[in-house]
Amino acid sequence: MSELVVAEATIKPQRRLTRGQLIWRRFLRNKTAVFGAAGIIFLVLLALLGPHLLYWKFDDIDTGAFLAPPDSAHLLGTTQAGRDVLALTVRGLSKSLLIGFLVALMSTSIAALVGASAAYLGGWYERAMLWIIDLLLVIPSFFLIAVASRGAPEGDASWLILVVLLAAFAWPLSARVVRSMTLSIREREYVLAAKFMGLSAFRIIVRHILPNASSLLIIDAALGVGYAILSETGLSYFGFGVQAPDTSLGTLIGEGSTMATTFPWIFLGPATVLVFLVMCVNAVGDGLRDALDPSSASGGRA
Amino acid sequence: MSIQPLKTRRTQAGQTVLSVRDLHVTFPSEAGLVRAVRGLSFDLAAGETMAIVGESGSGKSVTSLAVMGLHPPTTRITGSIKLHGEELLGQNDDQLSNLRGRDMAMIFQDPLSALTPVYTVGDQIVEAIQAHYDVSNAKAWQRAIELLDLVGIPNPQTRVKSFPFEFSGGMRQRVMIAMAIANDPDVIIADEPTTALDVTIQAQVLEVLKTAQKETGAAIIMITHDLGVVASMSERVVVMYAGRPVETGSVDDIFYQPRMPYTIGLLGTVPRLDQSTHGALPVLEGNPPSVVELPPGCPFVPRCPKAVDRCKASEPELEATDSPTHTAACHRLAELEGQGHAELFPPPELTTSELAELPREQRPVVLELTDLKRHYPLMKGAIYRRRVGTVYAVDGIDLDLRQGETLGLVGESGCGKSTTLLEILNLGKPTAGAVKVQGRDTSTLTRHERKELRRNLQVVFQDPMASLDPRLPIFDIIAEPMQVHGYKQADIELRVRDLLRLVGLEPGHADRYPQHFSGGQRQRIGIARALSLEPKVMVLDEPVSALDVSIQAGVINLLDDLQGKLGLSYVFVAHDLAVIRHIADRVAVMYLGKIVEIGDVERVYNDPAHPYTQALLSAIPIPDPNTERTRQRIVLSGDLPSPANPPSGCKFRTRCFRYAVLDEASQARCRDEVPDLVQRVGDQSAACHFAGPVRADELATR
Repeated sequence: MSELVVAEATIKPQRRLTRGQLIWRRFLRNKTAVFGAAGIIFLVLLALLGPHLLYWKFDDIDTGAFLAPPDSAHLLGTTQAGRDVLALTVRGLSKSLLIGFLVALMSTSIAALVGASAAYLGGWYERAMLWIIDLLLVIPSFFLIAVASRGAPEGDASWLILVVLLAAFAWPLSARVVRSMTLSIREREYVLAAKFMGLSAFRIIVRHILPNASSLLIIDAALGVGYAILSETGLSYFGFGVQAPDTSLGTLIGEGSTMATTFPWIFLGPATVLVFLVMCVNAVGDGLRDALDPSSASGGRA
Repeated sequence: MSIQPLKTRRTQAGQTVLSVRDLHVTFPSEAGLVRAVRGLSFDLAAGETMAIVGESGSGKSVTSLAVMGLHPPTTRITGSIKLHGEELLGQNDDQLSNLRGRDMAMIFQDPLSALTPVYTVGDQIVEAIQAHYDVSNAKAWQRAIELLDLVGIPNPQTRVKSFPFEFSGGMRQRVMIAMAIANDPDVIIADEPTTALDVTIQAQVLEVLKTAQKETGAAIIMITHDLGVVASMSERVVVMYAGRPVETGSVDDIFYQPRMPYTIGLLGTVPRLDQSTHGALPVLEGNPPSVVELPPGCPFVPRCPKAVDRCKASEPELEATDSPTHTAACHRLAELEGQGHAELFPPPELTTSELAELPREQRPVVLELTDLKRHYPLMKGAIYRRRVGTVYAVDGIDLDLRQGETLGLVGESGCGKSTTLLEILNLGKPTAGAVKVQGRDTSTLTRHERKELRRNLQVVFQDPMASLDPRLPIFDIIAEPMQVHGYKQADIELRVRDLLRLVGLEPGHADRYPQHFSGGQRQRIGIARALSLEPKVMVLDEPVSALDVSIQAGVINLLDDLQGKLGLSYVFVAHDLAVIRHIADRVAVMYLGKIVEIGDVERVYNDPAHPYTQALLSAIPIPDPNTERTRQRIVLSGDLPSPANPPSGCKFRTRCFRYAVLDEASQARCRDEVPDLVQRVGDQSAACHFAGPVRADELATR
């Protein structure tokens, strides 16, 4: 065994791999994750370039085809108003991608930082944070958003407010879970060791505590993407975010699902894209988790 | 203290009760087939104690599970296990359940998890009896009380109704023993029964085990890695390595005429409590092999100094040596006669510093504690929290550490060693007293000064797995302190390589994760990280106690060598007093938050003055069967009192054997007056009103 190790070391080039390179290599070894990443890139490209390549614009109305099933003119059929479902899906995709990723990123980051810092620092800070978390958990978010919506500006940028509001109500539950994980991680000796080296609390949280809670954070973010895209529909009702004639995947699915049995194509196109997106995100999330966790066997040897 | 046997024995003393022939245990794993036991044979005579010794992964625990039939269902077992001539292999679980607890019993390592927390200990003992014998409740409870009395539980009539959490670890292990002997088993398997216990408690439990054996006449299989326990308990020994028995024989044969190089090395690498061994320890290089996909040949070849080509080609069988009962598995048995570990495993050269020449008084003080106290409030209540008491974790200790010296800090768990370390490392303000690192009082530091001072003070923890962040490659782990303190990236690259080489690791492995290293190697990584800032003082918190015996010596030598090279000062905390004797220059013995004895290590070990030090030294089994047979052991009664409610006056008096024989006036002095550390001859102080060597009359009363 020991001879084997020595032989391997001499063959190995002297160049040391950095941590980023190690994680990248382990990620690339996971075929599903690479496929997921390719899928996300494809969807992003579709959202960016799609509107320029397609014949129909999303707000064009084809007066000759209301609720037409898929054919050569409209690949995915048309809606009641005679709008092309494919064009709408591509348009909706760009909004939903932005909303989904931004909300997931924001809510998971807030959850990670608040949860970990509350547990690590303790004391009054922890109590105050827990109080805020509990408050946010018990207040009905739709009610609060409805109240807050009264004074909100309207217009093109209003979807950004939507992102902030969605993120603001998505983080508390995860923050509680992160906090309880941190409570056990902060007792480990490597955290103590880092403290005795002179690392600041913030660096300990970012470098030692959060990576060791990363499995949870990654799953949380991956689920958050799907959650944000779907709940955006509900909030749009209050006059936020995506307003007609603009559209989003959530809106399309919401409208299409009422007619799912009679005119399934309105619903099937956007729903397939959403399912594909969530699957890709989860695949990337799993790959990232295995790449970050050296004890995971599926990442292979470092 | 005698109990009625429940049954008549099927075997007389001297007859074979358990016979194991060519036992092979294999189970599947992710990495491949694990051949955990490969060809183990032994006969266990009635009433005999046999020890199975080996390092982790040697197959000793798997053997015990296979004998009990407690192995997982995917395990493949071949060979033969016969109890009273009746084959056990192939019997189904119901048939084995009949035997388990009645004819064979097991004592597990962890007394915390071996008892069901929701039933009283009486319930559990009664259940064990009634599972096999149709006896009335009243009789079974009566027997439970007798058993608890036998294993030395005070007030058994009331304690029988107590729940496991109401007992301390040592008391729980006694309950386990009571349960094991409840049905007069013929064979008791004790799997590391005292490893989780403190030394004074270990001594108590081993005594109880001996009493239990005397009462029931059961044969004991003692599974342990502690050679001292082997020497004190067993008559016969089986040494296992990589799943194979490599040497068997009487305890004297194994300890005085070991023939297999592994046994020789193992015995040589253990520091001795009763001998002053300075310089390097002999080292068994390398690690035990993994038992997955073993190469052909003797598994010890990579670590064996005497290996020849034949050893790589075929695995040696056990052969009789000078006496037919002493067998060893080695191709070069004949040539190894009379060879000791000094010839086979010559100790490496260590660097000694010129500092060691300088008398202690002339060296600068690097760490000083004056009347250090750390008290924790005991709070109660959920909404209105009020203070209901105080835990006196550290209650006034003074010590100083000079450059280039090693101070050993010993004591049982709960004595305040860890709190003392944390107080030093926190560089904060203690409850009372002062910590001075290199002359700087830590309670007055600014944040920046504290960070600067941390450079000089680094720590190595006990558990080499828990102290390294599993998510970071070891380069990042070792580089981290330097990044915090603003080293240049190019310097860090070079320095990490140097540090890895310094602690005996391959610099090319810097991009591997901690899990790819063995325990000893991980501890070296921890040491490299601590050294990266070139500290003056290293705090070592049980740095070798989680390591296997053969690995331990290498780490101790490394620490010794580094001290010589770099002029480091160590605060070395350990519960293993033999290790302290080997590595430390001075030793401080702690009891309930106070230092009871401090001084030069040779003086304290050769002539301990405080009764607690005497008891502690006496409690540790020495890996030498002859010494063990003639030694008179001081066994302390009871457990460590709670630090929230310490006894008045001298804190040790509740367990003190000297206090017990004092006259009334002297006892009153111990009760009322707190003893101070008083200097005796030379560098040795003890905190006892009646300090002095153990007298015969003190032992006689026990």
